[in-house]
Amino acid sequence: MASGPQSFYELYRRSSVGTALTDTLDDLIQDHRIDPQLAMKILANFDRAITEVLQDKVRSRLTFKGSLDTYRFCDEVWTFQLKNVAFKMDNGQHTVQADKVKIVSCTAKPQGTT
Amino acid sequence: MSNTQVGQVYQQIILDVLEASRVDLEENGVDESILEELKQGWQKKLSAQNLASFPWDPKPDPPAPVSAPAAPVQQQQQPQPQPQQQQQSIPAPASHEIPVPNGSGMPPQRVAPPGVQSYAVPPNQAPVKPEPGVKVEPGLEATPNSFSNPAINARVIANLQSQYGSRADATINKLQETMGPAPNGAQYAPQSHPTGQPHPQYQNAQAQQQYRQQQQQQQQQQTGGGMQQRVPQPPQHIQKPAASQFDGAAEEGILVRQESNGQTTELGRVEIDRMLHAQLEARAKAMEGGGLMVPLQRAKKANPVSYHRTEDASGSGRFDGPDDDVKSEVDEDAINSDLDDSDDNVDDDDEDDDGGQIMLCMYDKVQRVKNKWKCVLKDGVLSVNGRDYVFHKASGEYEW
Repeated sequence: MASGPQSFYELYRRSSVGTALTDTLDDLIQDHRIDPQLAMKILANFDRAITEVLQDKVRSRLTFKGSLDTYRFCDEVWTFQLKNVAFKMDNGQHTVQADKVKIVSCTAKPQGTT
Repeated sequence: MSNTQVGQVYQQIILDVLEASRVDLEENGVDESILEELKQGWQKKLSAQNLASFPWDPKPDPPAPVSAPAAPVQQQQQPQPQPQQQQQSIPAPASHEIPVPNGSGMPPQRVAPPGVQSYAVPPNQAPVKPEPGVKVEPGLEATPNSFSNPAINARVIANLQSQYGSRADATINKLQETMGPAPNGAQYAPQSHPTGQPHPQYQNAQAQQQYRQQQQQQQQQQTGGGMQQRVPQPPQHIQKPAASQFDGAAEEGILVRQESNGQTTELGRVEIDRMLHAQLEARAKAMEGGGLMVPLQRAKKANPVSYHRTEDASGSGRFDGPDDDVKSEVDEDAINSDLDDSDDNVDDDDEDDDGGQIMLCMYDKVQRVKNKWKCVLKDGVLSVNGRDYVFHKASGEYEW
């Protein structure tokens, strides 16, 4: 999942910010404004930026409950499919319900040391 | 909670990415204005999803004025690239056009080897101009015009000899006779007033008819009949090079046309069929190669790829210049397909199962006791019900 000298997960590319970026880069590539290699570099920058920002700038907490439909652990990546999930935010002031949620989670430990 | 934070966080990410990419842009020799464009596009796409309230959306912050011109800028930029694309893809439409004018006799000219391509020139030459009239009217086909030029006669004889060897002797003799009594200059005019010089014309026409009969017989021997309708055509085709501008290469073209007139068109069709087939195959490959499991959206994305490949397969042999472009596009495709592939493994489940309801994060701990799971997650992005959330820490409990 990782690339570059200091590696960061490409996991977040699937997020909405990530897909918005990839789509924009795709458009630019299609228009021959940039070449794909540059787009890859920008995406690598994104991997780093989002990881760092999430680590440093975000302080909010979240709890959630639900029923686990499927789980999978492969290459140190957990994948859960949850059903009927209730997310509680802001210390329980906010609740969000979802029929289905998928969780994709990479290990927080430095890679290659498990 | 965190939904209010999302805008700030995303903006921070965007700025960080742009800042970090500045160097990469310089290294690639790309103008930094791309960054601004990237930012506009990125923010626009995020705003369109209505995931959260973004700082660039409503407020007149430094990034906010950006949001107003964002639309026109994008619109201005879009038309620009399009012509570029068209320029790049010019070879492709050309190759698609080929099958279209099928019946008009164009394909042989385009598809045929270079020697025949020069064929297209004669219609502009003065002496040949009257010919189309001859072609259309069957009655005039017998007019002597076709063998008026001794040079052509000589060529025809040569062709016949090379084709039929000694069997063509009779025909050749006839042709030589025709050349004798009918001097060149007298026969160029007759088309405009066919009855002006009855005698040599008649003679010539007679001779030609005889020639045609003989040739017909030969052709029937060669191809096994069914040529009668085509018979009037060979002289026509011999007429075309009457401009007598052609050397060796053109002779091949004549040869092909004269001998297997019907076949030439068929050859064109075969070629077209082959091209179509190749195209279909390439498309099928692109669909299959991308994976049968690929969602339709992706399959559609892969389509342009197939065009390029088709063009590559069918056109690379004929074009020198565009090859490089094609290659670069193939490279591009390769990388794209890599991207797609790496996404595919994940996106398949994603789009099938959760419909975009997804949490991406790191895990600190995942524990299970019997069917009860507990996990501690951190640094995550959550997309639920069309909204985005970010969290520093999350703990989940669920039962299996």
